[in-house]
Amino acid sequence: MTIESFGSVCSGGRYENLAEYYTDKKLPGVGISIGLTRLFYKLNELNLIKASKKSIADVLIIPMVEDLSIPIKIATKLRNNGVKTEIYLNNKKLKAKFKYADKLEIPYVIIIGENEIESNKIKLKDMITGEEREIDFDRIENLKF
Amino acid sequence: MQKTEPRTLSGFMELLPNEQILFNQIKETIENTYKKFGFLPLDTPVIELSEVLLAKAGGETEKQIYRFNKGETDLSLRFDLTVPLSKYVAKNYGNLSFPFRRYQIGKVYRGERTQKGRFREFYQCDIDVIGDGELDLINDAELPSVIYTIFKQLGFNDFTICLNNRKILNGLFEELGQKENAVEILRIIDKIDKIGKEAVIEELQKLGVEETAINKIVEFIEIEGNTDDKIQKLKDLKIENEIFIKGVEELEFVVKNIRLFEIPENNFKVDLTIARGLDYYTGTVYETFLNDYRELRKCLFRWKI
Repeated sequence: MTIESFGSVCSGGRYENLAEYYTDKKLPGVGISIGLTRLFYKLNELNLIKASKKSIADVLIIPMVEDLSIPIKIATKLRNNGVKTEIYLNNKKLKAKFKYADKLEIPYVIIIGENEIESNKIKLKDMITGEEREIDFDRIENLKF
Repeated sequence: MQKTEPRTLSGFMELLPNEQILFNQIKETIENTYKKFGFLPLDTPVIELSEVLLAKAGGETEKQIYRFNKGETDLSLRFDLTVPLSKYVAKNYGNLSFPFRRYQIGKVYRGERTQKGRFREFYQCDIDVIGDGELDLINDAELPSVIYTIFKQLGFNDFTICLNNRKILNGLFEELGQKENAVEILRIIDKIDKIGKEAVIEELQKLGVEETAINKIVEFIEIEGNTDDKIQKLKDLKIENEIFIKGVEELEFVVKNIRLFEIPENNFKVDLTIARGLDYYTGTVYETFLNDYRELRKCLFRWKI
């Protein structure tokens, strides 16, 4: 397919009278229009764009405890700070939870288990580098993603 | 329980989450740019009274309308965002400040023949500047700046905003005594990129246009050179028709002011073959083309953020 078959991606122009079918007022104007659906379809079809982002969440909280009050509290803190945060709210094995984060390519995972709660820490894992570090509850506010 | 096969009508786009994220990113880029230029948001109903929506429509458009009755009421789905804007401005005239600059991003519906890449439901992203009684020509120079900003933001570098002025074409046809054939001639020369010069001449002959007039038309559409050359050559045609002269003046003014908006020379040009199908336009017309396939590949990386 040649690029010619793409056609115009944004067209428009000047007109003398916008609303002559509705009013006697003379309303000249100038405008443009982008046909977004067609533009997207063509760019996608020609492989000129790539839908590589699979998730909206910056971070997935994986609770490893029965009582979800602390995971929810941490999620709320992060959300109030503008971090797009998802909690994995389904009782599955840890492996399945990680698989979910992996498939959606969520960049960070926060693990909250019994040990973490006892020591007032969370475990933050960078899913790209695999690097893990522990962070105190009261420093969660400072986290940037 | 008996299962119904889950399916979506053809001509209606439905995306997977990763594609929808990308789609929305592009939509947001467009919307943010419209806002950056101070355009006001507008949302109008998808369904309107047929009587209102089709006040003007006729011919091809009318055939494509999704139209139905709900009880006794004759309703139609909007087929563009311009007609709802017309209605809106006429209806709210007293409550709007002019020039009224609005953007609207929404779905419109046209029952086109279904084929690959043709959509019956699709998004249009429109901006318009509406004047009360009059609207200065410099507005025509600002819109290319909006287009430029959007495609730049989307990661494209090699694209061209093509400009023309309908008065030039209309004036030319009047000069050549082809006023009655104007719409038909425009339709023919609009296709020059697709069908080539010889086929255009042939079609003009079939239309019954005289040899001398055809020569003049061809001479006109073959004007070449950079933006300033083209404007000079238009003047050199020594056409004395008033509408033609006005059109060239307007085009020259718009070009001069586009430069004030700092659009690089290689991202816009005068293209005298652009007519836009609709007889609705009376002055400046725009079309935008993405030029280079290879160049386009580069913007892949922009989307990986």
